[in-house]
Amino acid sequence: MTTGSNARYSRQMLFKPIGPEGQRKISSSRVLVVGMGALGTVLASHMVRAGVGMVRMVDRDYVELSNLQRQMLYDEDDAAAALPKAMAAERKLARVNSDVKLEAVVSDVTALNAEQLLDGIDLVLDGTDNFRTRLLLNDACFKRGIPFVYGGAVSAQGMTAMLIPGETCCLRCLIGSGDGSGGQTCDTVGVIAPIVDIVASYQAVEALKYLVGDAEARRGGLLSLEVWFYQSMNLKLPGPKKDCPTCGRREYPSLAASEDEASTLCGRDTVQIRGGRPLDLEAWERRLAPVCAVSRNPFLLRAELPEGERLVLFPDGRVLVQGTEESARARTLYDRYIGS
Amino acid sequence: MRLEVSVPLLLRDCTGGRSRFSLEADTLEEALRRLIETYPLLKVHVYDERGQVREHVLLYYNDDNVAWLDDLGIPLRPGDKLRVLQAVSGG
Repeated sequence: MTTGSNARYSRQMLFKPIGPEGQRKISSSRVLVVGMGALGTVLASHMVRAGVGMVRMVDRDYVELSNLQRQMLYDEDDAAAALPKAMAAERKLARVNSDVKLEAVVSDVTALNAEQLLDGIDLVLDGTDNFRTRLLLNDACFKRGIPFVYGGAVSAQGMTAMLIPGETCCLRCLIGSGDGSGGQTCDTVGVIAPIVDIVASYQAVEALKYLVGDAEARRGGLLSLEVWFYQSMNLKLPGPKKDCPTCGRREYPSLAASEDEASTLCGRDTVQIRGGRPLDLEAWERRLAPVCAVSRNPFLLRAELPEGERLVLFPDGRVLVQGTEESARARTLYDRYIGS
Repeated sequence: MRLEVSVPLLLRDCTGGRSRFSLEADTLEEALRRLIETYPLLKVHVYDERGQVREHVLLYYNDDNVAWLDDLGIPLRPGDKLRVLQAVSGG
């Protein structure tokens, strides 16, 4: 902890279950937040304000106007500049608490980088918006013995559970090994902001208990909430399933899965294509400008195609094709403008 | 025996607009069967074409996940609850 910590964290340290010793533990902890959308912004904000030593934030997307209703760290300037969420969050949070080491990673989470993202991490907080990425994180966490705090919110309902290797079952035990496309999404049935804050705050509470080592205080269980008509249940979270490919047989199938070239984002009328090579945005601006309207910031390039769709290029080689949910159509446009 | 059942808000179109209601059954197995007989629209959301509980659907008998139970022939007792939940993916 640095000079001024006593003042900054005084109210948190007055809370007896944390105290000065708990604060020291929090300050020496390292946390990964995956997905910097509605859940992730609340999670990262809580971790940074609580004084977690290092917070790594990963997100593949950029800020848009439709995010501002519930993604608490972003504003209209971020949307106008189309800043990547991880970068925009880092800028905001650096002004909130300069004691905290922040790492912003603008990337997809894949079988190739999931374990690397967990390097040096004590706890993983789930801010993702799809089960495919959650199962990947679940497998990486259980392989490494790192707790994974699942959270999800849609409509006015939410769910959260702290999944601890060797102690509880894993996410795969609960939801199976499907392609991750199941479940309603915020883009199909909507979402109200308070449920996301509530779920993320429950996740943050369990994270703090874990970081200070207060095992007795853990809520345990699978919390299911509905906040419009109001119903809440904390259901039993069973132990590991013997035949589970992750926590039973320890095969971690998501880590072995081959990468798909294209994947549909959270019902957002967007298909992502992962190209095999980095993209030089300046060069691509010159190349695409004669055929379509192009705008660029240091993190991404947007090209409004004459066909009606939009391409968003990232330096790591990813391309979002916005305006379609069809992989074949996205592939066609990708091949037409970017080339295989 | 009367059993209290709850389903997610998003599925109440399948259960006459109610997210909480009661069912009469003697065992958990019978309750699960009655649930689908009474509300057939629910079937496609809870079970797949092989009759297995769909992935992302969680059935809880009181506080216990039904997938972990060895025997569904459990006799029901007063105050028992059956909860149909969908794992939530948004974020």
